[in-house]
Amino acid sequence: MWTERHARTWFAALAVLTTFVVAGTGAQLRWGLFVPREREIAGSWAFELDDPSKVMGYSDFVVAASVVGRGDTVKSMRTNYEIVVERSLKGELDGTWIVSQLGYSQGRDTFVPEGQPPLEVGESYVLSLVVDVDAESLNVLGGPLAVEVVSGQGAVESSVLGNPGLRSRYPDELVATKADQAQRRAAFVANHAAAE
Amino acid sequence: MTGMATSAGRGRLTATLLLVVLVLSAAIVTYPAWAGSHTNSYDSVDTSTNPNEIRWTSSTQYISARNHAIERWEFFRGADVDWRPDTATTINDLVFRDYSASDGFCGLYNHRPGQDFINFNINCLGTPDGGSAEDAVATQEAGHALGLGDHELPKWNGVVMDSCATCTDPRVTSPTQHDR
Repeated sequence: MWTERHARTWFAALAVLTTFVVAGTGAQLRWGLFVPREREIAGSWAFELDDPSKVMGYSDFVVAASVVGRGDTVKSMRTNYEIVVERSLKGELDGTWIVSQLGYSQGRDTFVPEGQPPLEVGESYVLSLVVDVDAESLNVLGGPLAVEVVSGQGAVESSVLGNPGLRSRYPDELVATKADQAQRRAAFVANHAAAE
Repeated sequence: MTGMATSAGRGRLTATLLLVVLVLSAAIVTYPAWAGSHTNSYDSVDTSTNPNEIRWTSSTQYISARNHAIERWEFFRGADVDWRPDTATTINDLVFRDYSASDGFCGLYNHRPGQDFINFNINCLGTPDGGSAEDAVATQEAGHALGLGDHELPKWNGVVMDSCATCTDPRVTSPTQHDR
């Protein structure tokens, strides 16, 4: 028998349920409380990071490498990755190295550099690397060209920075950088030789 | 019997009204998520506690550039967004600070839960000298804090939100009409 008490109970239950559903949906839409979020780190470029010859010129090392490990978040919003160098396209680098890329994870948030995919363990890339100011660590250069996924035969040559013609050109704007580059590379190699 | 039917009818009406109120409330709460008022889906303007203002703190040594950026955006956007130093009784939205890395950037904007960061790269900008490179970078990063995105195509050389704020000659250190 449907009584007034039944009706009240039923509507109260409906009201509570509706409140939860609407509040939950609203919170999810507004704040995305239950899903991982990806947030961009936007940057102001130091030079044209979309110009292949400038990226090649500015980089201390350009290598084809596989990512074999991911480390903890380190200073300055960066994450360390372990790479195995398969080929050096600029500078002499072989074996296993730690490189750091802009971007990090914190809670359910992943902060990724604008225009550049975060490195993934198991993938192969052509990477543009710069010796950091401490001459001890290697940074992945920012921008859209510094990280390029490669797989299969001939992939490195057909990648933007793998183009052999690019290596012989050096942008005039970066001549001052070129002079510093030899010193930076030498200091970096010396630091690592001493550490071993 | 009639009284019971009337009561059930009132109950249904109440439930319907309740539903309408809840749906409208949800629409109001979620409004910014579907309205999309900025180029980016994020900014440093904390609409929940300090409507239309950015409360900031600073540990940067590029003070002149920071002040330049704030002054230019306030002038350009008028009463749209107020930039004010954080106080003991307000919630901080944005921190100006420095870092040093050889990474190809002169500045970075990191939008985070809670407070955001504008990071000036000492390795790129060098010793503070109040020059146009610092002003250009600060103004661009402050534009990100207002929700504006980067402009990467060459046709946007000449707007302050160009990805390479320091590349043009002369450098763009103030917002242009396009940056509105």
